Amino acid sequence: MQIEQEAPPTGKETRRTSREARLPGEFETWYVEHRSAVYRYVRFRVATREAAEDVTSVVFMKALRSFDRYDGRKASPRTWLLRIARNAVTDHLRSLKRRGSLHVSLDRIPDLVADVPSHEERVIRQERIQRLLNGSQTLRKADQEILSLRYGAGLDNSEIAEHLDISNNAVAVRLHRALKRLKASVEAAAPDSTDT
Amino acid sequence: MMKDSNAHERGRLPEDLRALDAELSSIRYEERPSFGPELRAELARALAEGEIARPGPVRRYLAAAVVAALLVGGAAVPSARASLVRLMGMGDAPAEVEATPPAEAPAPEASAPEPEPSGPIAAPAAPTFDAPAPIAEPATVVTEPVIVAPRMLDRLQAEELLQSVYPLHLQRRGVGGTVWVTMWVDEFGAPGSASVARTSGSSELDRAAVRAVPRLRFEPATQNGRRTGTWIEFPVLFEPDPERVERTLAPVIDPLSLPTIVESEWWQLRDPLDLEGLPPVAEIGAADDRARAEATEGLRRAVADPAAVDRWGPPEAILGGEAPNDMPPTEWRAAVGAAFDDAIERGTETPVSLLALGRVRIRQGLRAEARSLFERGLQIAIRDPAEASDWVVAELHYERGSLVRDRWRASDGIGRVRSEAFGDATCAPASSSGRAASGFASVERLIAWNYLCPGEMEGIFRGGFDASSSGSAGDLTLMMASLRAALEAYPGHVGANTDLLVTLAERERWSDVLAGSLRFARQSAGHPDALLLAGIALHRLGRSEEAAEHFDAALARMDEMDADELLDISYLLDGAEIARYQRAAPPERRTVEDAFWPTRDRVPATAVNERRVEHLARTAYAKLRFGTVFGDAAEVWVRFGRPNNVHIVDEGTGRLTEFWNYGSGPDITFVRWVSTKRTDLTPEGRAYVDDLGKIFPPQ
Repeated sequence: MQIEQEAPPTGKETRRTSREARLPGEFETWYVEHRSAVYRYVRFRVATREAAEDVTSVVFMKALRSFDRYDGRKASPRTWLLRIARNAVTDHLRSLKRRGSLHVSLDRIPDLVADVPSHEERVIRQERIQRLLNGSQTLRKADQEILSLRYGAGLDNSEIAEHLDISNNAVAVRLHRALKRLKASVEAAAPDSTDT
Repeated sequence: MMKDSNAHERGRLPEDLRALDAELSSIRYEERPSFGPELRAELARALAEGEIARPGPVRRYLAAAVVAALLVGGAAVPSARASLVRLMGMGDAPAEVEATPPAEAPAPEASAPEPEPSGPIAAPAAPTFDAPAPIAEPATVVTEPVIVAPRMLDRLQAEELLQSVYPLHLQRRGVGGTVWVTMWVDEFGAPGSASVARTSGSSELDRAAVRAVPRLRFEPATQNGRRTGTWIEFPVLFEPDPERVERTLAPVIDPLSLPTIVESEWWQLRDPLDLEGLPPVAEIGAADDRARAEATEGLRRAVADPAAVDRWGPPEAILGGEAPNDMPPTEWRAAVGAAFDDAIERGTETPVSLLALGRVRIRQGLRAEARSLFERGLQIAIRDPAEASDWVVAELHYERGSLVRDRWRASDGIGRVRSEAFGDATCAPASSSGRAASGFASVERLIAWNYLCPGEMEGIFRGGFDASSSGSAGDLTLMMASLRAALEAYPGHVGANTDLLVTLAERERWSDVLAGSLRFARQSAGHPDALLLAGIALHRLGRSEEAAEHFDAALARMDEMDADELLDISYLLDGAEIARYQRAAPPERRTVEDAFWPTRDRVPATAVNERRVEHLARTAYAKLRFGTVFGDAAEVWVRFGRPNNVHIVDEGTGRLTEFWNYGSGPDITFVRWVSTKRTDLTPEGRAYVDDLGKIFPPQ
């Protein structure tokens, strides 16, 4: 159609101008390698995509500001960034708590889905994800932390062990307990009480 | 998708937790594609401009709120948003947007917007659309940087674009709504991917909006005078206007009725057909094959991977929605459907890809969606004739008309019989004397009365048949209009010609059938169906000799199997002869027929065997009307001819009961399955037809 032909190009190359200003080389590498993990970690903990973006922005702003104080002997860049993320999430949730509910509602989580073939299954899975996220918000902080490292940031047990500075076995035990409590929490919640 | 590197550790968990672990691991985080570059640019900018000491929610600085309501259907802007709509002026003066943080955010960094003489309008930044600040009260505390929001270009084209994606079936049903869309517009004004910020409540409308808006055109935003990429959020309004649907498709839905079709000049071609001078048989369908081959180019143009079109099988299979023999049909339809769906998502659909997708959807049982796809194909073809050949346009019209035809046939002549019609009947089987609570007689009762008290049925139908649920005249009109439109686009279209002429034949408009079939024959290089229809009409008009010539010409131009079906005389033979005849090879059967027909010649003095012509007229009609000569309905038609009248009773169970009346004796009863269109004799009907064969041997 005519409209398509006249539409301006939408290729990635048209957006590269925004990269003209440069980040410090090493920070650039961190950003490329770990932004996604940070975002997913944050997204697992907060209610909306918009909030996840804002908190992720805060994380990297803080990281950039403190970049010169980073000590590679104490923590890997990812661990360092995820610790900043944990604090940023805590600040965010605290500010929300002052104002109201932490619950997510179904229409606010369209970006969290599982790979399912049909629309119907997708809706069912979204509802299920909503219940899981709501359930996780009722857990103790340590449980939330380990769940978001595992299922948000996508760390494996040894990476979580390094992040939390505990043994692999301790990670397995904590994860097991956290999952058990999450399951109990989800089962205890009436399905219709999760929509707020 | 998140990595699932801990799958091996899942084994250590109890089974119920393993499932939970797998479920959590399967969650996919759909990060906005532009978020990464946007944040990165902002970090670099903050670093360069020394703002790094005051970090904040970066996205809010960059994102500018653009509220540009796109009105589809001439709706009023929702009052709650009216002030915001003025923000952009929809393609007029650019508006300046102050990037004010939300109320709960830390104190904003202030700057003053520089008002232009026209009075730029300040409004809250995204995403705080729920509580817009009044336009008349610009914020006294203003922030930096000043962002001039993107300006939409070419509003008319934008509206046309949105109109083109508004599904017609939703418009017809009066389904509308407002979709709030979020979209990135880069520093060159090029839109990026869009997402739904707030749903309209209809996933189809949401998809339509998201599909369309990346094709809009913008003048990019500026930040302190520099071009910049930005997020915009705006509502797309879909306001249904059923009348406009009809106007949109005016070239398609010409309110025609049967008389106006056949009175039109193009129909009036009644000159005899020169049967000797017909083009060679090889010419039949040759033009269609060429058109089909040309159309496959449109399939390749639509899909992301043109080579896939070749993998899906021959073009005619794809265009027909039929899987090739060596591919599992369900899997094939899923793959082909997904690829053409993807074309729609990407905006590369073509009329022919919509035709193919629609046919796939029909086979998947999604008829409403199929109709919408055909209509969308027609819309594109109407707007841009270069997008579709005449043949493709005809196919789209024809498929659309066929869907209407099926609906119409499932309801035409259908009714129920009021219980009080039995009041005066003297024959009352004890087991069927009860009255249905609904006030209508049950089908079982009607069938029982039909065979036990056949003399009563005519009066019962006459007094009690309520046809108020019969098919709408609108469907018939729409069907005929679609068929005519198909023929105007491509005069030799076999399906459209046949359907139109069979519909006329059902109403016994034999002169019109004759005129139309002669025209059909000329336009289709002497297609056998055209000659058969001409033969049927000539026979009904009492012109047996000409009818015989047309039937013989048709038989000579069709393949042996089809000819064998029409020539078959099984229904006219006795028990032992039938088995022998059916076991014989076609050439031997012809010998049997040559010996058989002279014994049935009613008027040996004439040059033509009237009974044979009548038989061919019946088998030809059965073939065209029921698709085969060998079904129950076709059998009764061939053996007993056209019924005097037919009553069809619907109990809303997905099956219709047909009562075919042949004068004296009970009606012959059939059950027609609406879903499969199959028509079978009821058990009593079968027994009665077999009895008739014994009592009255075929003549």
